[in-house]
Amino acid sequence: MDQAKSLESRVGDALGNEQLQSNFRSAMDYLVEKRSEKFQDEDSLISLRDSASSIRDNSISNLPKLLVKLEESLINNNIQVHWAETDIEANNIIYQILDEANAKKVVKGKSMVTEEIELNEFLDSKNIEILETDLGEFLVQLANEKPSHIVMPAIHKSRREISKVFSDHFPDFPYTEDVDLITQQARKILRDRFREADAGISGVNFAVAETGTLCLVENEGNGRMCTTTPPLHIAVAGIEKVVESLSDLPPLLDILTKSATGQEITTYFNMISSPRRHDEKDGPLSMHVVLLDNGRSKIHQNTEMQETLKCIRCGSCINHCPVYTQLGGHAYGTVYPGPIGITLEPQQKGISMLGDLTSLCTMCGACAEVCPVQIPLPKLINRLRSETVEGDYMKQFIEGVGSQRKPMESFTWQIWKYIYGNSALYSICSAVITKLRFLAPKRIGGWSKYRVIQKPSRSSLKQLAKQAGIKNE
Amino acid sequence: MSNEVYFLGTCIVDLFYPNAGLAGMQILQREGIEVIYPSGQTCCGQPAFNSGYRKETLKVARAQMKCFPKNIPIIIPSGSCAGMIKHQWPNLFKDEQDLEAAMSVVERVYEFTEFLVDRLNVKLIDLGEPTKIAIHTSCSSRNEMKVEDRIEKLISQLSSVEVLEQERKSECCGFGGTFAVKQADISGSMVNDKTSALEATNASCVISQECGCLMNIGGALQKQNSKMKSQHIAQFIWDRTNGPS
Amino acid sequence: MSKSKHIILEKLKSKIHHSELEKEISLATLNGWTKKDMTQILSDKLKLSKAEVFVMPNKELASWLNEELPKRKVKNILSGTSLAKEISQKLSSTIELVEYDNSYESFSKQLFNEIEASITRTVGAIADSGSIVLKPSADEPRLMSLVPNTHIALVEQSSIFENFGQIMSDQSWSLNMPSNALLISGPSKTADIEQVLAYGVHGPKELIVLILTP
Repeated sequence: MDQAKSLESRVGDALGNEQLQSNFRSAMDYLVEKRSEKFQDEDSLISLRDSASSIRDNSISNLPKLLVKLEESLINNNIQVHWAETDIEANNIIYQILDEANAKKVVKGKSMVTEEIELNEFLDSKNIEILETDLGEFLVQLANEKPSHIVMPAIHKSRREISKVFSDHFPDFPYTEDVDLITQQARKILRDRFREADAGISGVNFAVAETGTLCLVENEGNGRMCTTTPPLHIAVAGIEKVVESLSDLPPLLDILTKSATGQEITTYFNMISSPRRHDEKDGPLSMHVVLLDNGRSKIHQNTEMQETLKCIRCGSCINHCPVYTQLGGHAYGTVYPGPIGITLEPQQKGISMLGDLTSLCTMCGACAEVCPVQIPLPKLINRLRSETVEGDYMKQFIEGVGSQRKPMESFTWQIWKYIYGNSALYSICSAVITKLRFLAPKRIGGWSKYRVIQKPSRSSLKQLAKQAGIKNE
Repeated sequence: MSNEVYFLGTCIVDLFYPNAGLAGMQILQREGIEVIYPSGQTCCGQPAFNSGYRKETLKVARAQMKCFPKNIPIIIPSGSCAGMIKHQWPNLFKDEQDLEAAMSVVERVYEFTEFLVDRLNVKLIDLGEPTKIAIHTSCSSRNEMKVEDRIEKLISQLSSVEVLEQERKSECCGFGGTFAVKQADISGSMVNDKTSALEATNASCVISQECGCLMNIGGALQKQNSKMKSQHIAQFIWDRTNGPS
Repeated sequence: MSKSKHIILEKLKSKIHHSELEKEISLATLNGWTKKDMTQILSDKLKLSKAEVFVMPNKELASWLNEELPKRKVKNILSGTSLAKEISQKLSSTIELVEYDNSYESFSKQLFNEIEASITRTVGAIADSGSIVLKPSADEPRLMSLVPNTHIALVEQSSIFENFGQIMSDQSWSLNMPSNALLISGPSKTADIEQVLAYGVHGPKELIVLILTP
């Protein structure tokens, strides 16, 4: 996580980079268009969103019960289950499993939850080689960067930048900017690594409590490789990923792929319910699931904010966010950017550190309109904004409640409250303002950098209404 | 049935777009509606609410509740202020003792164009010169109030007005209340994208039902020395349907 | 119970929720498509995902392979043991039929480096999403549909269903999930570089679906 620089300077970097802005603009245009092509029929979209939302509501409302059931089913399926309260604990569990298996080379499928616990950095420090295998993640890892989008990790990079990174790392291959050729070169490089890996690590899209089934949604096949070729498979899942039954899967899968990339369905929907059985010839010999809390149970305790946990990580709120479109993912300095990021991250990591992220929202509501599980993101972001400056509501759940209250800003709102809360006082003020309109400032901070300031009118509406003889009560 | 309505002018209209507010009331009067403009009104509370200052918001919101006692519709010439009351007040007041009183206001709120179309079914006769305009439907009108098509329905009745469609029409203009001050550079980049899209249409004016957006877009157009004007829908309709002045 | 498990569950339970909400899943309604309709929809959708689709009577399978594989310069093909029994006699001698009859560990080098194509059965297909459904088994292991450059999948026309929910309930999946089940909807692909679609990134570069009629 890049919180070393201030939010202001990260935003400045992003807005100052024209190439980056144009990469994001065209990528978001593309994703928005692709999604809307898949949801032409308004009625079926409404009923699909209702179903998906209700399934996720059910998961979150019954979380403890479903997690216990999930664990039982997984164990029945010969999959070992570990519970991790924190990122550190999750990393240690994973390291211990790898160490016991004497695993030195690990391949990983795309997984945001392992980004969240910074597993790569941790395993690096333990001298375990961990290789990203999703093409986008692989490129991002080669460039020593972080994903800038939860579904399209390398979306910030142009083809030329990618070609350069690729040829720097693999000088044996001829330099090319041809996407097909780069893809084939990556295939060649990574196939050997899949075969040689001692362990595979993956995330989980849905974990079915009823049958103990882990579901992975992907297009490339690297997720299948990571969970099939190495002798050991470790899946890391946030505790919110559980769903009750297999029958929950069709609506969720359908709306996930359409919302995320505008695909009817992804190339692979991989449902894993056990390691290699005694008569089978391939598949991992042992499997582990790490159920990660990392702040989720805390979020779960607040009825309003718990809707955050319904998220299925499709990224469509990000794709439709006009602020993300301007900035791209890195400016957020967090694992999850965009509307879901500014909702989730301050709750996980505290308001002292991340409360200012809630300012990255115009309250336009585009995110909530497209969220496949109907998370009321602007409402939650607004609630968090109040938690940043007012200290009463969620002290026991979120660190740093009230910590972002700034004296000047707070003072301004006190003045505002006195004037606007008292109609007589307001009348006097507005009369004065209209009289003194010539005193209107030419510059007000950043506002006037981009706009001419509008002077107050000569008369207020109240005065005009009175002159026009409109009844006033 | 009473044909009275309250007009909640909003704080931006009061000080910056009073003529739009007056035009709105005149249109209602022309439809035979008796308009009451309670003089005690100030602001719906949106600016503080969006900044996280809920206690301050409550105080100001409560001051409004007293201004609209009769059980008659409350017409608001702004999607975001209508949205603030209709959709945020219930949440704001949910743990308060005066929730019921707040809800009695909430339930009577109409956005101006919504009321003209849905309740009055107004018929407009265009008396103006031919013109080409673009429409900016505000995000609150679209996503919160879900009344974004009413402005289009009204304008489509104006026979000499040609509507030109800008690219990414539904994208936020970058105003966002205090967002435009707190994240001024992001907001600036957004409004510049919006004005470029509008300029590309060659429309002579951009019309909206939201004065916040107009202040943002209009101010940016002016800064860029654009010829394009910006105007509130109420003003636009009144000017074109009220005969030569 | 592990300490973390205890802590996590206690925290989750500490909140009384609006729990017993009934889930309201509007199961995708069935359209009453005929097998012919579904064959058409399935193949149209698969083709949009760049899979190749051929519909043929069951008995023509071997002759199709004999004709098509040489055209595609495929010299060997991986098969499960039971399918190999059915087709090996009918296959031309220019095509080497390899059986996946050993554990992956002893076979991996050959699988990754030498095998060009594979042929597997399916447990059915889903028309509305354009997917074939595999339940890899001891006879037809998981990697058959992933490692070779070309994957040929056989779909019995009678086992095409309208949607995912229908195949799961008709085949009573919840009673007996295999170690691995897959929906496959085209060749492996990526759009990670400038949203440009590229095929065959990790899995098969070609997916050929043969819909077999009685």
